[in-house]
Amino acid sequence: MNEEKLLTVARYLEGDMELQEKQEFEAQLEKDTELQNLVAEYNDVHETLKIKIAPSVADKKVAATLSDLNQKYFKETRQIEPVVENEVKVVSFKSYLKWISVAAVLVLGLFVWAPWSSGLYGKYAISRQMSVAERGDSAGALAKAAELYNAGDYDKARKIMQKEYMSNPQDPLLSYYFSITLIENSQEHEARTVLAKLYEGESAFKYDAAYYIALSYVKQDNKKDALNWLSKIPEGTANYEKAKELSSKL
Amino acid sequence: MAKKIHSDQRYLVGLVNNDTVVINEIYKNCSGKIKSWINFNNGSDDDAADIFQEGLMDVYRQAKYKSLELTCPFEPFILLICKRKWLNEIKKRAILPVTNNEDDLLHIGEDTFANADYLQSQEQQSQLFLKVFEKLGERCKEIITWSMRGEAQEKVAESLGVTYGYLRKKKSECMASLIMMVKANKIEE
Repeated sequence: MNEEKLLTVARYLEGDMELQEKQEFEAQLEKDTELQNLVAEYNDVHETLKIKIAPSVADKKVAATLSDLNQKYFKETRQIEPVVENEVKVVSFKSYLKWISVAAVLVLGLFVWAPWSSGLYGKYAISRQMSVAERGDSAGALAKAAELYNAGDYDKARKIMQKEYMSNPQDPLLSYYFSITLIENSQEHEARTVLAKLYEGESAFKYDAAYYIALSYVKQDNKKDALNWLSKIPEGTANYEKAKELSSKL
Repeated sequence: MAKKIHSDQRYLVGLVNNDTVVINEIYKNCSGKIKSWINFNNGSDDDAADIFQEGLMDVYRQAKYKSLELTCPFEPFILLICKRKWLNEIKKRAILPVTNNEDDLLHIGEDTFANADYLQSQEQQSQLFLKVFEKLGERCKEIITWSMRGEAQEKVAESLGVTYGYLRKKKSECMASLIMMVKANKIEE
C-alpha cells in the first residue's frame, strides 16, 4: 500500500483539501475500490479510537448510571448483611431438622446399598445416593441431577448442579453433592473450595464436608492432609466411626 | 449478522438511551449471578462489580457506535462476556480458576457464543488501535485527542501555539501514520 495514497485519504477525511482537489479525489474514489477500502478502514480506526479517547457526555452519563447501580447491587448488600444473616439463621435452624432427616435417610440407605468399589476412596465414599425433597423453583433441574447422580453419571450431574450452584451457592445440600461430583470428575481442588465453605458454615453437612475433603485427599494419595481433615470429625457425629477406621488404614 | 434480531435487543436500546428502568432490570436479573460466579472463582464483590460494569460499557459502546445487533438472549450473552473478562483477569493475576469450561456456566446456544465472540473481537481491535495510538509521538497524540474531542480547530491551534494551516496538515500526517502503524500491526499479528 502506498503511503502517499493514505496521506491523501487522511487529508480528504480531515478536511485538509481545497475544493478542486476534493472534487478530483471524489471522482477517483468512485472508481477506485482500493481507495474505498482505505476510506472505510480509516473511518473504522478513527471511530473506534474516538470512542476510547474522547467519550461523549452521553457515554459518561451511562457510565455514571452503571456506577450508581453497581453501588446498589454489589456494595450495599454487604452493609445489610448482618440483618439478612439473622433471618437466615432462623430459617436455617428450621431447615436444620430437615437436613438431618435427609442425611439420616441417606446414611441408612447407604448402609443397605453400600456399593463399595476398589480403593480406599471408593470404599469409604458415602452419599452414593442423592435424594431431592420439595425444593421450589429448581426442583426439576435438581431432580434430574439427582437421577443422573444416582445412576453414577457424575459428569452430567455436575453440569446441572454447577449451574444451580452458581445461582444458589448457599444451599448446603446442593453444595455438598456438587462437590462430590467434582471429586468424581477429578476436580479435587475445586471440590475442596466448595467443601471448605460448607465446613465453615453450620449446616447439617458440616462434618460430611470435612469427611469428603479428607476423601478428596485420599483420592489424590495425600495421607497427611487426609488424616488432618479426618481428625476434625468429632465423636458422636454420623461419620465418626468411618473416619476413625479410615484414619487407621492410612 | 444476517440473523433475526432477538427481542432482547431492547436491553441494548435501554443502555444506549441511558434508560435507568431498563438498566436496573439488567442489574436485577444478572448482577447476582455474576457475583456468585466471580466469588466462586476467587474474585471479590468489587471485582464482580468492575467486571460487570466493564462488560456493560463494552456492549453499550458497540451498540451505540457500531450498531451491534443481538441475535441471542441478553442474559447468557452478558454472563459469557463477564466470565471471559474474569478468566482473562485471573490469568493476569495468576489466580487459579475454579471452572474454565464455558459450557459449565449455562446452557447456551451457538448464537450467544457468536455474539460474544464478535463483541470480544471488536474490543480486542479497539485495544490494538489504542496500543498503536500510544506509540505515536506526543505532539501527534495531543492533536488527535483534541480533534476527536471536537474542539474548534482554531482554538486547538492557538493553545498548541501553531498556525491553523500547520495544525490541519499535521493532523492528516498524524492520522496517516496511525493508520500505517495499525496496518503494520495487523500484518504482524
